[in-house]
Amino acid sequence: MTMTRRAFVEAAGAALAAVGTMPVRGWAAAGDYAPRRDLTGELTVWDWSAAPDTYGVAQQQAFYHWFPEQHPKLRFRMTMYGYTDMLPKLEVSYRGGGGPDVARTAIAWSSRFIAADVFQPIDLARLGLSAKNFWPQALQTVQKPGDPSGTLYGIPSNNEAMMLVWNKALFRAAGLDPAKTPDTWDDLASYSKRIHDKTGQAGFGLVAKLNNGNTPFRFAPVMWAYGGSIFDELATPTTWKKVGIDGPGTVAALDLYNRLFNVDKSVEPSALNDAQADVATLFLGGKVAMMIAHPSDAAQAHSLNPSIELAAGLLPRGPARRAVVFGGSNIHVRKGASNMDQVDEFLRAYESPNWNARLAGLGSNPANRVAEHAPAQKERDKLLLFNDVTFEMIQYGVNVPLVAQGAHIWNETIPTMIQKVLLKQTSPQQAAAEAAADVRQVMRA
Amino acid sequence: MGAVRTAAYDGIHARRAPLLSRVVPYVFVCPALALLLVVTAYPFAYSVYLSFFRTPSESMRWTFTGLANYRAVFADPVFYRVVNNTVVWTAASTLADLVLGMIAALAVNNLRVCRGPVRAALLLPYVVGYVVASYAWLWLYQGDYGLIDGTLTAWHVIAAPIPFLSSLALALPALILTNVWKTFPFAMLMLLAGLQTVPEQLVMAARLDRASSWRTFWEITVPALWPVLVVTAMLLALQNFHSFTIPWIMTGGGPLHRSEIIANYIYNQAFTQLDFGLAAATSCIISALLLAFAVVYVRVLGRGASAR
Amino acid sequence: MAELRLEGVGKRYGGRGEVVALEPVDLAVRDGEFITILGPSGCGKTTMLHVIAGLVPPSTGSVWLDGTDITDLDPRDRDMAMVFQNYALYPAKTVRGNLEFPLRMRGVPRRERARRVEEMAHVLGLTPLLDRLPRQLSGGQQQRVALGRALIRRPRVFLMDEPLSNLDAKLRAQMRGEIKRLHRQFPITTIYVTHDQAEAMALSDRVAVMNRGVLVQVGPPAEIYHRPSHVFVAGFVGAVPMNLARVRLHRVEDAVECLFPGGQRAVRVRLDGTPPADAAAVLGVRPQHARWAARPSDDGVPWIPAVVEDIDIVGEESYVLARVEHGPLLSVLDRAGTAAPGQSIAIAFEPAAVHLFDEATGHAVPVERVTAARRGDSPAYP
Ligand SMILES: Nc1ncnc2c1ncn2[C@@H]1O[C@H](COP(=O)(O)OP(=O)(O)OP(=O)(O)O)[C@@H](O)[C@H]1O
Ligand SMILES: [Mg+2]
Repeated sequence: MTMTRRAFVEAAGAALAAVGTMPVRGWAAAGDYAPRRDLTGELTVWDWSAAPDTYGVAQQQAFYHWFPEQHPKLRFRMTMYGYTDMLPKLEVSYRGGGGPDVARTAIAWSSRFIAADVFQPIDLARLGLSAKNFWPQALQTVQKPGDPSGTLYGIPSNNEAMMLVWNKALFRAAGLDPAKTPDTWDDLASYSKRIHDKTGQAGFGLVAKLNNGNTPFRFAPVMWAYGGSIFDELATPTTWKKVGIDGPGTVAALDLYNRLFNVDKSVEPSALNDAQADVATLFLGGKVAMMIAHPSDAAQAHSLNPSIELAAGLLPRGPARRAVVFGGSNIHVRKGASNMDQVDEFLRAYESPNWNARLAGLGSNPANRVAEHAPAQKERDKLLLFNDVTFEMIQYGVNVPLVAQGAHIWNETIPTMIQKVLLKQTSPQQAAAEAAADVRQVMRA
Repeated sequence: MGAVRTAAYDGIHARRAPLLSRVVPYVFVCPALALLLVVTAYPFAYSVYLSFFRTPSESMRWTFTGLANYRAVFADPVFYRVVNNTVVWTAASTLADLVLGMIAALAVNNLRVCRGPVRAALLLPYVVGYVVASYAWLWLYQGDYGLIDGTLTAWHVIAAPIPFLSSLALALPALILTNVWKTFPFAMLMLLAGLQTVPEQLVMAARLDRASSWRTFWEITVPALWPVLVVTAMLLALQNFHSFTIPWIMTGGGPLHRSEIIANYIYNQAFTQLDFGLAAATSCIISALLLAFAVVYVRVLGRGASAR
Repeated sequence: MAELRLEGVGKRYGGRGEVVALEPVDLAVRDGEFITILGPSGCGKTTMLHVIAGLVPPSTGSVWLDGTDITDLDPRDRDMAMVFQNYALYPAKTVRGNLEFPLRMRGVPRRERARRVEEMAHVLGLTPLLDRLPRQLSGGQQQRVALGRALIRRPRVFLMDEPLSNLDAKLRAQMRGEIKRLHRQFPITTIYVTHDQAEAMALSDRVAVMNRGVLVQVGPPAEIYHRPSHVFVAGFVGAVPMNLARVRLHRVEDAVECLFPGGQRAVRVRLDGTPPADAAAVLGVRPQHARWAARPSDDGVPWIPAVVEDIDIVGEESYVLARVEHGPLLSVLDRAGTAAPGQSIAIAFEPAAVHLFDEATGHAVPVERVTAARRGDSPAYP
């Protein structure tokens, strides 16, 4: 961080002025982060690495170098985990009564720990922030389901949504307008069939691997678009009590998958054991025309194969709505942490617009929406492809099941349901009904 | 004088030695035993303990549940499929490893030229990491662009690509093939070392006695290799039983758990569903099965080995 | 019928053939002949048997059996039985399993097999051991099993590589008798390797002496013993080594005088040809063909002055080891048994039993007749 505070404030202020109509308040307080250099005491932080996003990793390194430098008297201990290591490590240490003062977790992990009551409530005002700084869905992920008090057990650190990415050359080869997104999921299926018929390549990259988080992340948007839901996540307020996965929306989404895979056969035949990385590889080789992807996937595809003509658009909508999984991470504070001064200092630094923008890397976006206009965001904009599209997409974000048993439902129940249909083991109705039974059972246990 | 002293010493020795010689070995074994207790016995005992507790997802407290975790495992239809898969996986992989390893070892052993390079080439899969091998085979099996389907269709062996890894029937066999490719060099290495200890003269004698190559193999080579075979089979069986990476990367256990094996299943229970009690219970059940197998194996085949 | 012939058969080992195990050898073995190969360790005996059996391919030459070139024939089809030097018993098979293996591989019916195993075991004294594994046997017992596995069938050729080397003297004599009896009963062509000269002499029709991969002399035992064609054979054959001493040949009239380096006259011989003046040679005489006395007697042969250094007792016989001044240490069979170390004695050779060998080539120089020198006419040498 070479920028002086003054220059930073000025630049940020200019950005704010330029936007003008920005709907968010509280910017001044969050932007006005000044390190308390005389801070003493201790602080333990666990974070997980943004790898393979090299930009994100570099920002993390810079931040975790900078922060202790600003607080020479603070005993600051930080541990950086890999994405897959973090959850079991947290689980085990919290169960053992230990764990770090501060931990960043993926949204999908938050609800488990919130339900288990291991986190300290967070007062945004004390940090100079307000609810308006964040996406409403993001705040939902740090609340207890159906809690009327709206207590926040964490603070969003970054949020993102996926979009549709396609290969313009393949669109052209199939006689499609390379600039035009398929508007509905039904259109997407027609596009896919047309591309496959005309070019022989897979029209759409289907991700249906078992035990893989990519699978539900790409299925849920279709399900929601057709009006289906796992619980009642499309209703406000969400209770997470009513099991709705056997509804007609789910069946319609399964029908669409079935049409793509079994009827039209317009997707790659290895869909059942493809994770997103496999589809991305096929996409890179010009073997898949469309895929659901993060902006970072698009950036990576572009850097690996610049000859691919990339285009991106919103995910298609369905008869009920346009939807996407609301993604991101939160920062939590362990219940009983006695060093709240130190914790607050860290949270203020992390949520400060410039750092919040940079720490989002290329795979996500700052959770603090003020940061969307911070100078550092300009720097990111040069690196990010289709940032506008994914920003536009976030508003359609719907949360993953914010229940303690979410991991099972997400990784096991949904992929199994999809595979049953794709392998023609059961009808979509039957698969959805069995999934509902499974969800009810894990919720009972 | 010397004789007298020896006799006297022998007298003392005869009375004292049994006690000493009973204690001393244990003293020497102690450090190793202590280490073993810390790194093996303690975690094992802890798993057994853990298996009687519920580690619920909505609370950080442990609650004693008796045998509920065990009942839950036995009530899960996926568990039976996974056990079945694991048995097939282990038996087929181990058998194929031994057969292929034996063929390769015999071939290398009989080579007059280029023995070193050929052996090195055959060892290559063993040196390649599991993750690398899994990804390589993932693409080999890929339906549209994979080498296997591509070659078979080009040679008109099959009319249309077979999606091996997405097939309910073929996924497990396909993964077993990958696993065998990865592990047979170990069998080859062991058997090659074994073959080199079989005296050449025995084979010569058998030839003079008019035994065919086939009979020589079965009557002379195999019995001479038997101890090596028994040990190799045991090591391979254990290694294969504990496999994790290949199904994890290539299919995620799919389609519909048809290629999921026990390590994947337990891993999912522990680290995806974060149900440590359930995972511990499954581990205990599997350990018991494994122990029973090991006892039978050592009793039956181990005795055969020592008789030879 | 099994007439075996080796034509220029040689064997080299090593990457560039730098180890010569067997120089090109010619050897013809008659049908039913029992031929023994004698030679020091590492001279190529086992190599020769292996080449004959087809277990290792020869580097040069060819092997003929009954007029057929079998050089490239598979050992399975040669119908030869071999006793391996290191037994090569099948470790996983019992004594019975080992003995019956060659019969089983030839499809001999079970009953017949059992009968012949019992018979063989009886002959070799293995009956109580039939159900043991080789590693539960002593070395000598193992060797008998190896012998039995070869003798249990009637091949065209027997190849035996030191088959009795590990047996005690009594058992060895007994087994030797058994082999001899069997050979008389079934005269099968046999090539037999041994280090035991008594065994070679007792069993063989002919003996072949090898040295460093070369077949030095082949002939009936008596010929090998009495008329060694080479200094190596002379030195190698015999229970006690032959005296071999360097001498100068000095013409005296029609005969040749052999003089020790110290100038003492050793013996006077008559040669076929004429040796060059002052030629050097190796004189050989067995201890049995020399005698000693406290002082020389006047019996027409040269007496060699010597000083007793030691008395060597071999079995029932003792030998006087006496040093000739500036010359060799001679071994003389001590018939009187009265010599004592330090004593000055005189030694005389039996002129009819001395051998002369070319110093350079080692080949025997034909000694035609030995003349008794007349008393007192010995020239004085400084
Ligand atoms: N496989 C081999 N490679 C290299 N050299 C060998 C090999 N086999 C034998 N030799 C050499 O060939 C020579 C002859 O060996 P061979 O076994 O025929 O001797 P031998 O006469 O049977 O000796 P012994 O009386 O000790 O059994 C030896 O110098 C030996 O070192
Ligand atoms: Mg030998």
